[in-house]
Amino acid sequence: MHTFLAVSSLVVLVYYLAYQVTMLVFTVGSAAVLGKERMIARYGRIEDMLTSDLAPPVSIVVAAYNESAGIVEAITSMSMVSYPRFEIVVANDGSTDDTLDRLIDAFDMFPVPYPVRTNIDTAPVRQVYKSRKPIALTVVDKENGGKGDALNVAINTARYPYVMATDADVIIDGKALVHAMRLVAEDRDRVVAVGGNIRPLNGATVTHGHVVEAGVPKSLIERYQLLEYVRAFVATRPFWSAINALPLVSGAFSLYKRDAVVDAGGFASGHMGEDIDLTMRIHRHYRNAKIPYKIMYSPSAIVWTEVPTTRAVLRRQRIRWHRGLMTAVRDFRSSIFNPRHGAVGMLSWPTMVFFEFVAPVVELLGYVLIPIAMLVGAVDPMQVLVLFVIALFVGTITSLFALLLDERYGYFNDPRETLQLLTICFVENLGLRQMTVWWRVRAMHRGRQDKAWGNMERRGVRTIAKAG
Amino acid sequence: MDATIVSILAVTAGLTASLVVVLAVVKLFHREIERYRGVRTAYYTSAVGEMLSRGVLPSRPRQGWAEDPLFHDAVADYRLMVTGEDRRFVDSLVDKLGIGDILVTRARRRFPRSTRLRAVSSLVDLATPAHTAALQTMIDDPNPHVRVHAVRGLARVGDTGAVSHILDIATRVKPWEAARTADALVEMGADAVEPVINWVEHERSKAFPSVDVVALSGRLLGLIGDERAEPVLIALLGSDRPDWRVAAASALEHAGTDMSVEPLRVAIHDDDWRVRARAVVALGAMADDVAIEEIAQLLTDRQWWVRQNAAGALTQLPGGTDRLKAALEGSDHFAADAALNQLTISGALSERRPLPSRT
Amino acid sequence: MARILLADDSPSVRLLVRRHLQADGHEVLEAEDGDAAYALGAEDPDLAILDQLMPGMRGTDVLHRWRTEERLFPVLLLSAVDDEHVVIQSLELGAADYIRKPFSMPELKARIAAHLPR
Repeated sequence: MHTFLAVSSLVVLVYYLAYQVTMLVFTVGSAAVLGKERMIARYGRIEDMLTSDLAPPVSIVVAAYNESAGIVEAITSMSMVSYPRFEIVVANDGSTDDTLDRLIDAFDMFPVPYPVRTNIDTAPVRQVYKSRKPIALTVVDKENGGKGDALNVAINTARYPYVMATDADVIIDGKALVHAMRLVAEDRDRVVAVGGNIRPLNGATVTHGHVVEAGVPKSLIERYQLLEYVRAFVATRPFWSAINALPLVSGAFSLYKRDAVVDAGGFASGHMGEDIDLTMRIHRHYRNAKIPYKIMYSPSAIVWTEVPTTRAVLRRQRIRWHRGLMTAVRDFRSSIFNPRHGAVGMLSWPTMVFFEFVAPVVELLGYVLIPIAMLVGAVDPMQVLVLFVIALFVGTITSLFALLLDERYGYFNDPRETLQLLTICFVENLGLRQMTVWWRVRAMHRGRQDKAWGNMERRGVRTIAKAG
Repeated sequence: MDATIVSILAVTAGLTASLVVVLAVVKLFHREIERYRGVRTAYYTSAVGEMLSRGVLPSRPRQGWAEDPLFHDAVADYRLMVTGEDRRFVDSLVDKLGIGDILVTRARRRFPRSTRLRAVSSLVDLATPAHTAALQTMIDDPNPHVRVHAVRGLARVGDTGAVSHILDIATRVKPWEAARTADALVEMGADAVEPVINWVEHERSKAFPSVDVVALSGRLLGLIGDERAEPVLIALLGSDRPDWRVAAASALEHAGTDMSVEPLRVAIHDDDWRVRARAVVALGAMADDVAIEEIAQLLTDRQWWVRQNAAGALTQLPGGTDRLKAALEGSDHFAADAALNQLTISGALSERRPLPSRT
Repeated sequence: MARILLADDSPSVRLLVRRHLQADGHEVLEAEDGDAAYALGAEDPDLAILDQLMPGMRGTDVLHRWRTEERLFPVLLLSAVDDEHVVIQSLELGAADYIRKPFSMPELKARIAAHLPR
C-alpha cells in the first residue's frame, strides 16, 4: 500500500511538472516566432492589400440564437471591418426571441427567393432576407439545429471563396481581417484556415463598437480568464502555428477556405466543441489526402469577447468545453502519436489529450492521494512539497513570460494593473485553477443532459464593457 | 533531500522572482515610453505644421529631429496629405535635415531586419529622386518586405528605368510578392506604361515566359488605365493562356476603348469562366445599350460570378436596370438571384427617401 | 469672416487647415470624431469640412443626420478613400463637394471660398 501511494504520488507530481514544463517550452517557442510577425504587422504596410487583388473576398458567417440584445450592434460593428470586399451572412437558428425582427427592422431586410446551395446538409431553411440598405448583408432564417448547423447554413449561403466564422457577441478589431488574410495571401495554395487572437472584453472601454482601451477586469474570476487567454493565444498558438500543429481554430474568429470546410463536411451539429472538431477534421482530411496545407494563427487578428463574470456561467462554459474536448478525443483518438498526421499527431493533439483532457483527473487524484501518502508516511512530505512548489514556479514562469510577450500590444501598463496581473499569476493557484479542475472532472462523469448551446447569458456587447 | 531538487527549486524561484521584476520594470518603462512618444509626436506635428503653414524652413534645425523615427512619421503625415507647393516645401525640409540619407543608411544590410524595414517604409513616404540609386540597391534586399517597399519608393519617385529590373525580380519571387510589386508600380502612373509594355512584349517573345508576371503586368496596365496599353491587352486577350486572357479582360475595363468592344464580345463566350466574368464587366463599362441582350444572356451562365458580373454590368448600362427587373420576374431562378443581388447593391431597389436640399 | 467646422481625426490635417483658414480670417470649430462633429452642427457654421473615415460616425453618416434635420449649410467631404461609391453617396446626400487626400491647400481654400455664402 505504501509503495502504491508513494509511486502514484510521484507519478502525479512528475506528470504535473511535465505539464508545466511543456507549457513553458511552447511559450519559449512562441517567443521565437512572435517577433517576426510583429515586425511585418507594424512596418509591412499590409493595409496596402486593401487595394490589391491579393485580398480575395470574404463572407463573414454568424450563427445567431436568441441574440436579440446585441445582434444589431454586432452586425453594425462587423460591417465596419476594413476589407475591400466582404459580405455578412447571419443564420438565425430558430431563435425564440425577436432576433430576426430586430435584424429586419434595423437593416430594412426583405424576403427574397434565394437559392441556397446544399454543399453541406442542414436543417431546413425557412426564408432568406436581403437588405435594402447599402450593406452586403444576408439573413437566413432556419429551423433550430444548433450552432454548427446554423454556421453550415451560413456557409452554404456564403458566396465568397473564404468564410470567416464568428460569434454574434464579439467585437472584431477593424484590421483583424486584413491581418488574417495576409497569411492567406502570402500562401494562397496552402493556407486553408486562420485563427484569430481572442481577448476578454471585460474591463475594456468601448465606444462606437470599437475597443478604445483594454483594461484588467474587476473580479478575480475574470482576471484569471484573462491570464488563461494570454497564455493560450499569445504564448502557445504562435508556436503551434509555426509548426502547423494548431489543434484548434477558435470559433470566435475562424477564417476558412470555403472549399476546405465543405470538403471536411462542415461543422458538426450538436457538437459542443464544433471548432476543435472541424479543425481536426480539416487536418485529417488534408493529411489523409496528402495535400500540402497550413492552418495558421494570426496574433494581430484581434477579436474581443465577453468572458463569464460569474462562477455559475463560467462553470457551464467549462463543462461545455470539456464535453466538446471529450467528444473530440473520442473521435480523433487515431490521431494520437500518429506520424502520418505530422506535428498535430505527434505533438499538439497528444498535448491536448494528455494534458488538457486527462489533466483534471490526474490533478484531482493528486489532491486526494498525496495528502494521504503524506499522512501515512509513504512519502517524504518535504520532498513532495518541494516538487509541488517547483511545478508551481514553472507554471508561474510561463504566466509571467506570457505576459511579457503580451507587452507587444501595450495593454495594461498602469502600475495598478501591473500589480493586479502579477498578483493573479500567483493567486490563480490558490483555488481558481482547482475550481476549473473540479468542473472538468464533473463534466467527465455527468450525463449529457445539457443542450448543445449551453446557455451563456448574453447581454449584448455594449452593456458588458462600460461605455467610455 | 536531493541536492539537485533543491537547486532546481532555487533556480525556478529565482527565475520567477526575476521575471516579476522584469515584467514590472518593462511595464513601467513601456508606459513612460508611450507617454513620451505621445508628447513628442504632438510636438513634431505642431512644429512641422507651423513651418508648413508659414512656409519657413527652420534656419538651424535641431539635430535630434532628423534621427527620430517619430519625426519622420510626422513629416510623412504632412507629405502624404498635401500636394503642389506644400509638398515641395516638405521635400525641402526632408532635404535640409538630411532625413533621406539617414534612412538610406539605416536600410543598409548590416542593420537588423526590423531596422531596415522600418527605415525603408519611412523612406517610401519621404523619398525624392535623390534617393533613386539607394532604392535601386534595396530591391535586391534579402527580405521580401524590404524589397516591396523599395519598389513602392521607386514608383513614387518615378524611376521608369528600374521597371524592367523590378519585373525581372518579380518572376523569381513568391506569387504574393510579385503581386504586391506589380500593385506598387501602379503608383508610377502613365510613365510606367511604355516600359511595362516593352517588358511584356519581350517576355512574350521568350520560349518560356513568366505566365504569372505577364498576367500581373496586364493587370497593372489596366489599373493605370492608359489607352496605349490597349493593343497589347487585346493581344493577351487572344492568347491561348487562360491567365493572360483573364488579366487582359479585367484590364480592358479600365484601359479599353471602342477598339476592344469586338474582342470582348468574343471573350464573353470564353471557355474559362473567369474570362467570361471579367470580360462582361469590361464590356459593360464601354459598350452601349446594343450589348444589353448579349450581356443578359450571361445571366443564366453556369457560374455564379459570371451571372453576378453580368447583372452588375447591366446596372451600368442605360436600360440595363429595366432588363434586370424583367429578369427578376422571369422564370430562371439563378438569373433572378443575380438580378436581385445587383439591383440591391446598386440601390435601384431601395426606397429613395429624398433629402431636403439647399435651395 | 466665416465660421467653419473642421472635422478630421488626424491632428496634422486639423492643424494645417486651421492655420490656413485662420490666416484668412475665418473662425474654426474643430472636432476629432464624427460624434463631436455632429454635435457642433448645432452651432450652425457657415460651412463644414468632414473627413470621411473618422472614429464613430463617418463623414457621410454625419452629413446624412444633418440633412435629415434640415441643417443645410454646405459640406465638403474630405477623404483618402478613392471610392466612387462614397463620392456618389456623399454627393447624393447633398455634399457641396468631395475632396480627395492628398489635396492642395490653395485648391481647398478656393473650393471653400466658392461654397461660402456670399
